[in-house]
Amino acid sequence: MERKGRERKLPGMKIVMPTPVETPTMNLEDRCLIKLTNESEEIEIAATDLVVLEELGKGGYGIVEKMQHRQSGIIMAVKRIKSSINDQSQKQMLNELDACRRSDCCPQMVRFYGAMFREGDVWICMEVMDTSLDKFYRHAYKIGKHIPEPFIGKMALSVIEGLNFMKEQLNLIHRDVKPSNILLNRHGQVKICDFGISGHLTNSMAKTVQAGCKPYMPPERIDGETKSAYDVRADVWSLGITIIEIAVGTHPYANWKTPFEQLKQVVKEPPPKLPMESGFSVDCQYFVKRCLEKDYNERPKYPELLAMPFMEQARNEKQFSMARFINEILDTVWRR
Amino acid sequence: MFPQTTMDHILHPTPREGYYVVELNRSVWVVPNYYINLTPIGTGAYGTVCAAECTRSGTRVAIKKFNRPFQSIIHARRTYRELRLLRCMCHENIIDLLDVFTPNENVNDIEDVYFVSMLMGADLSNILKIQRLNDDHIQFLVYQILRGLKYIHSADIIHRDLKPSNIAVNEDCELKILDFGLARQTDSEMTGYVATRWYRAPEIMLNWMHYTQTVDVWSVGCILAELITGKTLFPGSDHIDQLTRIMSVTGTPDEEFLKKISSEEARNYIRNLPKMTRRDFKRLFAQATPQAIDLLEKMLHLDPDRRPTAKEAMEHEYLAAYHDETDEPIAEEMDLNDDVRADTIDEWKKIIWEEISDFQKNVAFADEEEDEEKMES
Repeated sequence: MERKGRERKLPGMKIVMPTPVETPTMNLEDRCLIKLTNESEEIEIAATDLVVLEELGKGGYGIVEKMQHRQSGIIMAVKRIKSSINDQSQKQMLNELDACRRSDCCPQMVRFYGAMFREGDVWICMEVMDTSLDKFYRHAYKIGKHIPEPFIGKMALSVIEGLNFMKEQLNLIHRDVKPSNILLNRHGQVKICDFGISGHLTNSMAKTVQAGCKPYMPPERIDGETKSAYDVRADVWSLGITIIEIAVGTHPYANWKTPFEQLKQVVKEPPPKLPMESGFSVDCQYFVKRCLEKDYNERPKYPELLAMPFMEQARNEKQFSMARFINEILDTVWRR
Repeated sequence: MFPQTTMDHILHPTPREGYYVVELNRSVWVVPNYYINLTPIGTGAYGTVCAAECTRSGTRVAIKKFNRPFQSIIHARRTYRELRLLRCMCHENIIDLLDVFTPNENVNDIEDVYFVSMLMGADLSNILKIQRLNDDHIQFLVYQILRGLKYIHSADIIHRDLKPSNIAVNEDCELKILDFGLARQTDSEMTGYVATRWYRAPEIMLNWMHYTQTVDVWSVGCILAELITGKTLFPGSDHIDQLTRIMSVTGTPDEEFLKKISSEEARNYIRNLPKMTRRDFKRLFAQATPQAIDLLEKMLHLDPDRRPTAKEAMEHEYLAAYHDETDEPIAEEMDLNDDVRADTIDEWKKIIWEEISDFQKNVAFADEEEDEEKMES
């Protein structure tokens, strides 16, 4: 620094500069082998051969686009997540991706095709679905439709069966259950996405384990005095919040301006519940009530939920067609 | 077979005249011919960085390629604001913008933006990983951070994200503040965005009251503590954990400060906590000098009204070896174009394109002036 005025003595000793470590290359190629189903042939996909068709979503994590492989015509969803390239997070991320790979055998999981690295992003290739639950229910309310109880039952059943499978078979916990991570297609299927991905990849963006005020976070994860390690019952709470949100049309908690408002509402006040006048059955109301037990020791895990009458009804319901309802909502254009 | 799309354009660029393509770590860089020997040196929150040689100036530079600058309106606005801020600021302790370019040929095609600045040795977080600095170094570094802050605060800019990885230092202990991506962002615009909160003042992290420029002084206090101990002072895992760690050092707020907290929920939360007394900083920072401890005491006040400003902190005896009020400039009036508004990404592309063009025009003009001077001499 060239100094005007008084000449100033710099500290005598030089600072040792860190050796510029060659930036570690992400241990992923810019191509991967994918199989659309367990029976189909493997196809090699290169990032440079994917063409963007449509943006599906974006958030703090990155962006999700519908893409087509130019040579084969295959269409998939590609999520691009900025990757922090350091050895620790890379190892953990590869473990997460391996978990995604192992989820192929679960029908309630969005199928993971493969992962690549390009332009500083991890590219995660997945099955493309027709919509997410958050967009779906908001669109339904815009066009003057409510979400009927059979839909809620079947949606919840799929989600819980998927979460239970992942816990029982692979010992994995989702950690970020919410409407935007529940996807629907016109065949009437309900699938969960971001299993294992939310655990680390998106949090590496946030740089800390918990990012800000999370509207689906259960009380035992908020209150500093009773904060506990994550377990499946946290996801059960998040599912309960999700059900109320789609049943009523809005998230049950107001937008919090401070973490203390969240603390007060979620930890100190009674849990939200389905309004009595909403017309939902006693079994449905009871199911939601149990999901939203504030004391997580009292909150049921998946097997107990799956045994409840509300889930039994969802399993046995034959009159309501998920496919018809989903197509009906998606095909109705909102007119101002 | 398939129509060209923006992604296709990015992945198969045909460089325009004066530019060339190089692939590094599976990323495509398209840069002017006068930047050579590109070497990746890291990734930041918003982009990746290469070291390079500038054949025009004969110096080593850092080139930052922005990560999807037009992914959203928030991204675009942030890119514009950082560009605008860096163009307006001129101070020894703040990163300089030597060049800004886009390889795209016209405003409709703009997808990539690159900033070029002087290459500094390393950032402070990496320096701290390999050594402990002596007190003379620490004094000079903290002094320079405050000197840079005095300048930006005098322009009514608050950095809001000061942390070791945002501070560049060379082997002579000369320092520059980097990354103004969060400056002037309002909190509502940051919904869902999380920066490292370990260095953030409680009033900004918790949104419990209005905040002032002294949020940056709190960050300097955290950095000074880390320079002394080699460890992060408040490595909170979430907002409440962060606050708990802070209060275990500062003590729980007194009633006078509680009255300033506008959030009723926050006041109630704190009143229900068991009382914590302020830690003895002499024990907490046993290896620090009494002057350093005194400055830490002042900078790490929960109550922002009781924290010194950057200007006041520079007058502290701990920094007496370096303080010289005649050489601590403030900013001239800056036109940050804060009133620029755009509702679509396409509008932001146009605004940023024009800003880059204006920058290039000014550089060309400066080059002509230099040529004239050479001809005259």
